[in-house]
Amino acid sequence: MTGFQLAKVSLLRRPFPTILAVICIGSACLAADFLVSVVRSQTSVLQHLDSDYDLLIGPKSSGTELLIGGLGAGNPIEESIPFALVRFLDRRADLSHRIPIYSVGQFHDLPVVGTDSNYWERSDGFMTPTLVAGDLPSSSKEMVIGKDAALRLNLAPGDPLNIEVVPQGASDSGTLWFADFEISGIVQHSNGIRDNTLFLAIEAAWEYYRWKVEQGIEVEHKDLEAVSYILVSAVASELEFVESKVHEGSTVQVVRIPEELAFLKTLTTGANRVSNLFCVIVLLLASLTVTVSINARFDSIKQELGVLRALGYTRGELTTWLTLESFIPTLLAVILAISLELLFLPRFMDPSTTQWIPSPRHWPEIWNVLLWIFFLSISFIASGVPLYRLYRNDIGTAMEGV
Amino acid sequence: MDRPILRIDNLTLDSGSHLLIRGPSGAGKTTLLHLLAGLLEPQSGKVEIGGVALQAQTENEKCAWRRNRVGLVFQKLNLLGHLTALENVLLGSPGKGLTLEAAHAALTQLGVDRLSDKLAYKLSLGEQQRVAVARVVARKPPLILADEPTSSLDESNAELVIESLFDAKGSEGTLIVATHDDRVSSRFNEVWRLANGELQ
Repeated sequence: MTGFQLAKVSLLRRPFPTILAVICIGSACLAADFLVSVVRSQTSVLQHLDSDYDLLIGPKSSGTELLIGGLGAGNPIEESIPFALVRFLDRRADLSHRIPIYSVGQFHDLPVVGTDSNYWERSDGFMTPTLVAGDLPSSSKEMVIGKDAALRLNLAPGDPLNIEVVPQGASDSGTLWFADFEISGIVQHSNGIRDNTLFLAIEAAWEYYRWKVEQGIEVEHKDLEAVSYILVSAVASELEFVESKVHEGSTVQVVRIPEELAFLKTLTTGANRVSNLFCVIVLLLASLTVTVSINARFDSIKQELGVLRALGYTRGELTTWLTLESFIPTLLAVILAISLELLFLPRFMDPSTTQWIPSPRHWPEIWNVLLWIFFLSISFIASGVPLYRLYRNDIGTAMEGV
Repeated sequence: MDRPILRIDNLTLDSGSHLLIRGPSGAGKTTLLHLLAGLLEPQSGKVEIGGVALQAQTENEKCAWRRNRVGLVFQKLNLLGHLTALENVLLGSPGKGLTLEAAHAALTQLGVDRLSDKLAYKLSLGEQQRVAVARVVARKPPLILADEPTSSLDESNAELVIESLFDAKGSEGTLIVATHDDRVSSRFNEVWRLANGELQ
């Protein structure tokens, strides 16, 4: 018999220990992968925040909080930003700016927001929208809707939709803003929070704003009716000018993105060291579990190893057997862990809605792959332990299973 | 210093011979066979087979020697319980050295061919003993060392086992059987007695 044949019959004829080893090792892999994943994704999001813009104008929360929300690692805070400031930026041709989301109001309890083209091009992971049907809007008369909103309103690309919005602050409850749109596409977000939203072009949102001013309705820019934040690109000489403009009695603040990002990265470097230490401890514990599982399996066959040695099986043949005997269950365990991860990990519970939402993780990442290779390597190393113990003793002792 | 388990001044066997070693339990029969197979090292003296001293050989050389030239029937049988009878016979030939036909033929010769697909742990002790003998018979090695090969067998099967071992030995091979079973003595010309670790 060859080492391959020995491994094959040993694994197949003793299914219970094989399955037990797969479950033990798989659990260790899964737990390690999950824990390391959570720790790394937390620090990774902060480490990889980036922007081509120089300034971020938003509500007066903390700079870091605003930055994380504004650059896409979380939900931007819905707060008041003076519309005069928006108009001022609009008029300045030398200041390139972007207003990702302007909240208009509600239609059938669904949020209606205006967005600019940048919103559809963002690829920050957490809120990345994907077009699942139709096209993005090509004019202010077209709109896209989230997939859950499409299901609820029974709409498909090409369908007309008449929006009626009750403006906040209107004294007459009969005052409604009407606008006709055509559904150009349906989108799905990696984070499902926005899948119930109706997205107008930002120009349509401004039309609504102008109508509201014409109607004499007070523009409060609160709650849903707000520009969440503005990203500005400015030459160095313009930065202070914009900052002074913002600070003219406004309730918002300016964050200098490069400086704030540098500060944030300094903070996360320290956190990263702690998380790396945690990862090492998790990996050590998981490796120990894998090694103990494999050696527990070998303990039951050590007498057989002695007999085979007495029968004239070479070290190479026994090595092949033991390597496969530990590698194959570990491989199956890793496949099991990957399958479970594919099934469960891409989804996280949204604490605000208690609904399952997709994970922001891009999976698998390089370190996932390295982790699996690490476990497979551990299985190789672990198979060397019984071999060492087998050849440490004479054959007579080995045959007694010592 | 502890008393030695086995003390043999001189034991020489010609190629093609057969020897029965008798003695009570604990006399050192198994130790002697293990020394001859290179499984144990003598504390002093030497074991020389075919002009080569086993002690002078490396572990790999001894392994290759057992693999190619020695057939062992263990007292404890040492079948692998999760393998079938046929697989246990194939197990006796490391690598790809034994054909299925040869393994089946050995099982047939020992009268256990009908059990070839049965897992070893499900066999009776007598059946296991015949499978253990078939493991050696299938290979026909030049040196056969059998430790109590008939201990769990009735008379006819004991006879069958001894005949099979002689058949496997052929005219050139050497057969050494250690037993305290009186039934097999008549088949051997040379019978040595081992008592208290010494040949008599």
